[in-house]
Amino acid sequence: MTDVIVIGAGGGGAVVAKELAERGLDVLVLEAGPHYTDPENEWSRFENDCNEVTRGYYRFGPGDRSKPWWLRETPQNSLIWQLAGVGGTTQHYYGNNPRAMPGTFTGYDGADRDAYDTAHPFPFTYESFIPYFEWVEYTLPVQTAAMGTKESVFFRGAEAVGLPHNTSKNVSQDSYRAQENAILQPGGTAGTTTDSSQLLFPKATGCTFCGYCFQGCIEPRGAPRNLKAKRSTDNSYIPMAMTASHWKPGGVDITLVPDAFVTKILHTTEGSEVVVTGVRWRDTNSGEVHEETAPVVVMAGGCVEDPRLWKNSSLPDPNGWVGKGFTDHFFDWVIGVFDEYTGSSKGVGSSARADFPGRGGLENVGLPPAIQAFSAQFSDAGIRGLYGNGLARTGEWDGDSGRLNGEEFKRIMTDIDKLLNILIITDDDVEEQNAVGLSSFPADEHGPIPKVTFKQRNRTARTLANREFLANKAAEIAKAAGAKEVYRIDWPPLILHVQSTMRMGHSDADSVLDETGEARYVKGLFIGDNAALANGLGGPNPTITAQALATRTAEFIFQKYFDGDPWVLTDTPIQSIDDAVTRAVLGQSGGGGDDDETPSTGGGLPVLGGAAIAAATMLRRRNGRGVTGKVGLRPLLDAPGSPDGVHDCTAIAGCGCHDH
Amino acid sequence: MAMSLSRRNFLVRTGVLGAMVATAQSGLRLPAFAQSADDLLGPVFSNLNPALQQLGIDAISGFSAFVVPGPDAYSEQQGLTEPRPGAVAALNPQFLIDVLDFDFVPLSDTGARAVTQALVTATTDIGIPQDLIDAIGLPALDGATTFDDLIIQLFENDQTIPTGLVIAMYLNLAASQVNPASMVPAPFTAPFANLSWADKGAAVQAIEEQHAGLAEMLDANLPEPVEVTVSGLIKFAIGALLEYAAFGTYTEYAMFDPDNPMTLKGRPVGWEISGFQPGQLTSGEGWDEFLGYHKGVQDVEGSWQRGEGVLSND
Repeated sequence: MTDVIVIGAGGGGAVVAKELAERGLDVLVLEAGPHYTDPENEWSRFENDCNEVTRGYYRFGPGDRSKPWWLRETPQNSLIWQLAGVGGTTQHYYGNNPRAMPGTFTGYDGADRDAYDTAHPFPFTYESFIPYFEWVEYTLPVQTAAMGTKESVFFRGAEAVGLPHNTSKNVSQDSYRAQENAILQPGGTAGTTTDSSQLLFPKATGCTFCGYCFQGCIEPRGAPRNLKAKRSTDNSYIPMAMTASHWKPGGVDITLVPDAFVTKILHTTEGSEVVVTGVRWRDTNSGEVHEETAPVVVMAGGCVEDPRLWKNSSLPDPNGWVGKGFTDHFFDWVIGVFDEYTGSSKGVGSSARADFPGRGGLENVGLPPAIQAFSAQFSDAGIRGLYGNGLARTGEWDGDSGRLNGEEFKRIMTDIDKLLNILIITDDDVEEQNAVGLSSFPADEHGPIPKVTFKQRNRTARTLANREFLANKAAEIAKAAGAKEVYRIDWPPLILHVQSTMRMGHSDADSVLDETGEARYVKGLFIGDNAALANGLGGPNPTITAQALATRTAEFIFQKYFDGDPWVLTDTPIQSIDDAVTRAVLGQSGGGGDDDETPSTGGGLPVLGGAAIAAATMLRRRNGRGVTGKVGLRPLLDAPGSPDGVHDCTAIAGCGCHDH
Repeated sequence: MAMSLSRRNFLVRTGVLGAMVATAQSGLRLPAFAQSADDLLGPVFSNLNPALQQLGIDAISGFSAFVVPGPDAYSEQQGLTEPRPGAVAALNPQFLIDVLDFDFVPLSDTGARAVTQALVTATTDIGIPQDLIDAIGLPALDGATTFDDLIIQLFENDQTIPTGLVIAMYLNLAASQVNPASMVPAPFTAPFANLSWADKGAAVQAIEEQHAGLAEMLDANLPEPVEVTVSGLIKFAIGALLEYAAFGTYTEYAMFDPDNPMTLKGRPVGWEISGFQPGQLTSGEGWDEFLGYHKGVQDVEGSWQRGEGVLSND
């Protein structure tokens, strides 16, 4: 018997686990995929070795890559790009953390209030939710992103089409801005050199602009796990959760079991209520089956696996909404081809965006070549110049939408650093028809497999119109930035931003969860990931909202089942890069010490001496808003007279390193 | 039992019989066909396997060259070449076959057998011109257990059909509809590889748009529990094949050494033809790309300041 079982150590489950462990609960985290504990030596960051969805180290499958991946049926041209493993899909995310649009919450009364999915709002107000955004933004931390060349090109285009520069975390009008990223911003030598010998921690801190966000963040080399640049939960919340007793009085370290695929939610009936009692899981290496009991179970296996597990557990679904209402932001893709250098393969995956309340958003995306090539082939509108499936369209882009192929494709791919990709992120409606069910294909070792259905071209008129608006706007921005050619690919469902398959809502007619995140029809069972989101958020990337919601759900769990008090409005969060966490992470690698300034040898994490600890301390202080009121590492690390002194600030307009 | 003409149509249209005949004509020893096909299945398969593999490689190579042409023979056959190395030089055909055979498309077990059976049925009413049969040089039907019977039995045994071959046969079937002359196994055994670039586009279109009711015929002839879903699966598969032809070509696949996974054996074709990380054999650690913060804004409004243990908005 444990207090809480969390299923899945991804973007949401890790948050619930850390928050409750910090409050002294015994938390068991079961993760279906592997736990990479030494990524510097485990991740090549080569695209096939990493991203090939059947065998890459980032796949939805067991850690033993000689074994098949875990199939999902997709009865349409589409791709689910979701990962198993500690960190879940945040392992390959770009750390983009824009808050949800206020218009997707109950009580919103702006002039554009009718522009959103008004039938499926969050069942609470945006204002009441802001402290949860704040809590997560501080914990990760989230920072305003630096720019590289590709961002400067995007900004140029956005300004040229007349968009104003938004300098707020909250969006109130059509505008562009730097991303709010869960990425430690560059410090020291980071971002200033290609010499790998100069990019070791602590000489370099934060993002080194390596360009491999999608292949896993190991930068800077030598940094403790909690000080890697990208704040995927394997670098942030999980290291905190595993060391909670070391940095928080009364905290209890979680028990993390990777390679543990949960196959059934155990439950009983008490009176008229179905009550959760625990879980059954399978060791994916040995095949052994285990059970554990707990009064609270939190499902956080993702928008596809949560409903699958629910259905395979024969849990009640009286309104039929388990698995339904899947939103995916109805992505699309525009590629601009330039005569000039854009640096598209370098730097953070995306550090620039434009927001269109009631429509959705756009963001620039930089990629290495294989996924760049994939992105130009992924379409349901045929092949340009050959056929269009009856779906190819014309607009602000050049010619028909559709795949680039043959000679044209190869020509456009000639210089990857002369491209500008823009991702269309549609504010899409919750629709019952877009859903996760069970496949009629043979079951795998974990039960009947999921079937993910999207009616790509038969969505609501609002959703379709939003996507067309955004695709045209993206092409306008690319052209205004100087692109000589602009192509719209017209993607089929790329199921990457996933939301709302176990949605919370006001009405028990079309939601699975009540407003606390607890299942309406199974007591003690909560959803702690993106599946719990009420809708598609109006287009912003979902991670920060899902993590804020997971924090809120953890509070309700603590209050209802453990007689605890809420903390977000009263307590001070501890950052994942706090010195105490760093010491705990380093000490853990040596097998114990909690406050030891001098880590012992052994284990998978790098061993650092006093100088590195000092650098980590500096880094943490510079990210602590209480010190300077500024976010970022530059102010001190690159201060005049710094031994680093690695770049000439006078040559960079507005570089922000220090006061000029 | 004699092979029916419709089942023979299936073998011809998917390129299988042509591959067999070409193999026989090239001097490879084929088994003597005798009494019981079941008894011979194992030995027959091992003898036919190279021909089937070549059929799959040819079809998939023709597909790879369609997406990323180069100076290779498959690109030449389609009438669209490009002077720099393309998908074939990047070993993309092997990459695709590896991926497909690793259950990328869930056609194994029940699925592969069902799809193959459906392919057989789908060709029932599609005739083949006699001059093409003559050109291919098919052996005569003699009323006894035939070469064709054995092949069909191979395809009815779900343990022996890799998914890559099923997909290749599907491409060939579509090719045979777009241009019947492609069924003559020259220069390649696979009809799809014998098409022009534009005809390849028409074949892919036929699959994607489900022309001629191909996919519906699949669904209609499939047993439970896989009916209904297979046409969607084929649409998924053809989309995935296009995407993976592009993805695979631009990866490190051909230069990756699993025994030394952090350093490549040489520069991948895809890196060279996209100008990626010039001169490097490893994933780099960073770039000198930091340009500061847009308009100097490093901390936006709405960021929450830390107070005395209480959060407050700006």
